[in-house]
Amino acid sequence: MLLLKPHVKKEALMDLVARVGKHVYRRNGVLTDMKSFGTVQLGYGIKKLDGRYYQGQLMQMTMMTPPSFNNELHYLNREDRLLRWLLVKHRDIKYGLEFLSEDDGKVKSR
Amino acid sequence: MKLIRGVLRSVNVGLSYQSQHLQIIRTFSANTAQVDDEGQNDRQSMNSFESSDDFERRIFGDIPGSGSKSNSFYQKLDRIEKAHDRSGLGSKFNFGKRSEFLDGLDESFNTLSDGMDGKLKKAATYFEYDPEEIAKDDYAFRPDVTFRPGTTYDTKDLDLKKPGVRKPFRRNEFEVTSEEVLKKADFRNVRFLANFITEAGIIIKRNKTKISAKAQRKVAREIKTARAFGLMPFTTMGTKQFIFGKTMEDLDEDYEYDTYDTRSFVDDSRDPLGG
Repeated sequence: MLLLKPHVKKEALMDLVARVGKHVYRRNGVLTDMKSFGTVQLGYGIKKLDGRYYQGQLMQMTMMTPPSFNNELHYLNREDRLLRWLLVKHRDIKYGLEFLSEDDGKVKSR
Repeated sequence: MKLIRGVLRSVNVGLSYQSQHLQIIRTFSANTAQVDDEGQNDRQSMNSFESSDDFERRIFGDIPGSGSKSNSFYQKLDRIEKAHDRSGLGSKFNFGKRSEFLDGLDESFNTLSDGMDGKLKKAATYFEYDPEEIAKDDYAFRPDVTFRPGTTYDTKDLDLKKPGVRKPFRRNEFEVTSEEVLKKADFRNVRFLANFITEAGIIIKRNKTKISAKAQRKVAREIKTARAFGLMPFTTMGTKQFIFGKTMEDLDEDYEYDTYDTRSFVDDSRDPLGG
C-alpha cells in the first residue's frame, strides 16, 4: 500500500507504480489488483523534507510474489514522492471472493 | 413558715454578731492561725458556715418580712401581664372585640377562634407568580428537569405534581458486536476504527467496548497499524479531536467560537436585507 504526497501528478504516480510492477514481474510474480483510494486525510501531519503533509494519496497494489520481495521494496524508502509505504501479508487467501477488504493475494504492497 | 423564718432571722442576727466578733479575733490571731489546734479549726469552719449563710440571706434579701407581700405583688403583676398579652393578641387579630372578655378569657379564648386559621390557609395556598412568565426567555415548564435535544418524554414526565425524574444522559454510544469487529476492523477502514479511540486519541479499553478479547486485539492492532501509516493519530491531546474525513491541520475556524449550524437560515434572513 502506497501513501503518496498529495500534489504528485498522475504521470509520476503511474511511473512509480509501473516500477514496482516491473519488479514484481522480474521476480516471476503476478500483479492481481490495483486500487486507488484517492486523497485521504491523515491522522497527523507527516513531516518530510519539504514540509508537513496533512493529506495523502492512497494506493493499493495486490500481488503474488516470493517472500523475499519485501527486501527489494526497500528502495521505496528513498522515494521522495512517497509519504509511507507498507507491505501486508495475506495468509488466508480467498480467491474470487469480493470481500469487504476486497483484495486477495499472497503479498500486498501498499 | 413565717414563724420559722422569724426565728431563723433572730438566730442569724445573733450568730452574725458572734461571727463578727470571732472574725475580729481571728484577724488578731491571724499570725497564730497556722498552729491552730483541731478545736479552733472546727470553730472556724462553723463560723465560716454561719457567715456564708448570713451572706446568702443578705443577698436574697428580706424574704421573711415582706414575703407574702412581694408574693402578692408578683402575682398581681403576673395577672396584669397575662391580661395585657391576651388583650394585645385580641386587638391584633380581632380589633379589640375581646377587650371586654379580659377577665373571663380563659374559657372563651382558644387558638381556633382567633382568625389565624384563615390567614395561614391563605398563606399556604397562595404563592407569588408572574402571569407573564411564559413569555420570558428563561421560562421552563419543568425547571427541575432538563430535556436535552433529541430526548423523548411522555405525559407522565410533564406532571408537575410529581418530582422530576432525572434521566441519565446517554450519549449515542457506539456499540458493536465482536463478529462485526472481526469482519470490519482493518487499518484502511479508518471510519470504523475511529469509533474505538477517545477524544484524546487513546484506544478505548475492552470493558468499555464490550467486545471479545480476540476482537479487541485485532482492533488495537489495526489502529496501531493505521497510526504508523499516518491514517490515524497517535494522540490528539492538546489538539482537536480526530474525526474521519477531517484534516488535522490547524485551521483558523478551529479557534473560532462555536456557532450554530444555521447557515441556510442566516442566508435566508440576509438575502432580504442585502436585496
